[in-house]
Amino acid sequence: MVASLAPMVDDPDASVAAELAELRALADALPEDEVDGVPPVAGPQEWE
Amino acid sequence: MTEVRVEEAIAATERLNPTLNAYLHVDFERARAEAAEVDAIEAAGGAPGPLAGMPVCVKDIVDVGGMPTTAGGADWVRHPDEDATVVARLRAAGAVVVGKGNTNEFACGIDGRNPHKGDCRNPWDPARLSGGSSSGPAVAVATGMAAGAVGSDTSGSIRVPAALCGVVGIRPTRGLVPADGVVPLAWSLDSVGPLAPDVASAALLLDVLAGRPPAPAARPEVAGLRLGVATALMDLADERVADALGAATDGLHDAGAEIVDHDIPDLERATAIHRIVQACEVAAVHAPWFERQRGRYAPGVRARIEAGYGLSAEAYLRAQRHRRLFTRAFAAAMDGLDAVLAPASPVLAPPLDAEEVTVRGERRPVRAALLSCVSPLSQLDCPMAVVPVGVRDGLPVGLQLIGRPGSEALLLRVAAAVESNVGPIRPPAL
Repeated sequence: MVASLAPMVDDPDASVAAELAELRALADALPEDEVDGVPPVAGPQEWE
Repeated sequence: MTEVRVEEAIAATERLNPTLNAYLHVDFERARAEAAEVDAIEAAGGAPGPLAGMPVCVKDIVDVGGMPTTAGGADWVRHPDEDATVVARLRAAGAVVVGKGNTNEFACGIDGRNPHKGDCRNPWDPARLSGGSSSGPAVAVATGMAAGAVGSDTSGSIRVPAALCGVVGIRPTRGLVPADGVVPLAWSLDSVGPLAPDVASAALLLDVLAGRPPAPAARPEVAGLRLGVATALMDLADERVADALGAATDGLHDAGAEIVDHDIPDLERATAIHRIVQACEVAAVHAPWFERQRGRYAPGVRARIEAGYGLSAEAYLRAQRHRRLFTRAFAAAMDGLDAVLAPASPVLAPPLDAEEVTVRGERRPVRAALLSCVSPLSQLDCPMAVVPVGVRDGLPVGLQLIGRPGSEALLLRVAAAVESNVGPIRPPAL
C-alpha cells in the first residue's frame, strides 16, 4: 500500500471538543432575527 | 477498438497505480470482457452507446455491482449486487468500469490523503497532494488510467482535485444527477458529477449521468457574454495562480466576453453556514454505524463527524435559513451576469506532508486554504465547473466557473473557450 502522510493527532477527544466549540461559536454568530419567516432549505433551490 | 482503449487504461494502471494509488480496487478481467462485448455490438452493426469503449474510474463511495464499496474507510465495506443509477447509465452508454477510485475517508476531506488506504498522489509531482475527496478519479483521468470518471462534490471534492491534477470537473446543479447507490456525505450539499481530461468528454459524461441524450459539443463562443470575476476569491489566490487565471480571463475578453468585477456577499458567513449544515448532516448519515466505527476513523474525520452530534436542531435549521438568504444575495449579485469566474484552489498542489501553506505571506492550514474558494459556494445548488488554464512551476492551475441552476451548457461554452486557448494539459511522464 502507498503510505499516508496524513497529519497525526495526539488527542482525538480534544479535536472533537475543539471542532464542536468552533461550530457552536459559528452557529451562535448567525443572527436569529435576520431569518425570521425564512424557510430552511430543504431541497435543491431554484434561485427565486 | 474498445478493447484497445481499455487495454491502454489497464496498462497505464499497471504502470502508475503502484506509485499514485488512484484505484483502490480494479477488475481487469471484467473490464476486458465488457470491452469485448462492446466491440461485438459494434461489429454486429449495433450502436453500443455514446460512451462506447470509454474506460472509467468510479469513486469508491459509488456502488458498482460486484465490486466492494469501502468509502475509503477502515474496515467499512458493503458488497452491492446492483449498480448505482449513475453507473448503470454509464454501462448502458457503453462505458467500461476499470475500478473504484481512491477517496478521502467517507469523502470527508479535501486533500486526497487517506491513512487507511494510502494517500493518492499528484501525477504532476508524486510528492504533492492530489486534492480530494475525488482524488482517485482525478488522478486516473489525468494519467490515462481512465478516460472519464465519476466523483462527488460536497464542499469542493470534484473541483479541487480537478484543479490540482489539471483535469476538467463538473459539479452539476444539485439534483440533476441521481445520488442513489452513493454513500452520502451531507445530502443537502452532495452533487455527483464527472471528471475528464477535456471539456468534450466531461460534457458527454454529464449528459449520460443526467440520463439525457448527448447534446452537440459545446462551441467555444463567449462573444457577448458578461462574466464576473469574484474579486474576493481572486484576492485569496497566490501570485502564480492569480497570474494563470488572469491570463485565462484576458483570453476570454479577447474572445469577446465582457469581464467585470463581482462581489460575493459575506464569504465568512457563507463558510460558517456550510460547515454547520455539513456537520449536522454527516453526523446523521454516520449515526447507524458511528459507535462501531468510532475508534477506526482518522482523528480529524472523527472530529468533524462527532462534533455534529453536539449541535442542536435549531442551529441546523437556522443555518439552512441563512443558506437561503445567502443564495438570494448571491443570485442578486449575479444579476446581469452570465457566469462568475473564480479560482478553484488558491494554491498550487501543496506537498504531501504539508500542514500549512503560505499564501501572499500568510500561513494558513492546508485544509482551510483548499476549501476557501469552493466550500462557501457549495450551498448554492447551482452548477460549477473547473477547467485547466495552464501550468505554473510545473503544476496545473484550474479556473472555477459558477452559473445559475441549470446553466451547465453555458459553463461548458466558457470552459471550451478557455480550453481552445490553453488546450488540455498533460502531466509529465512518470
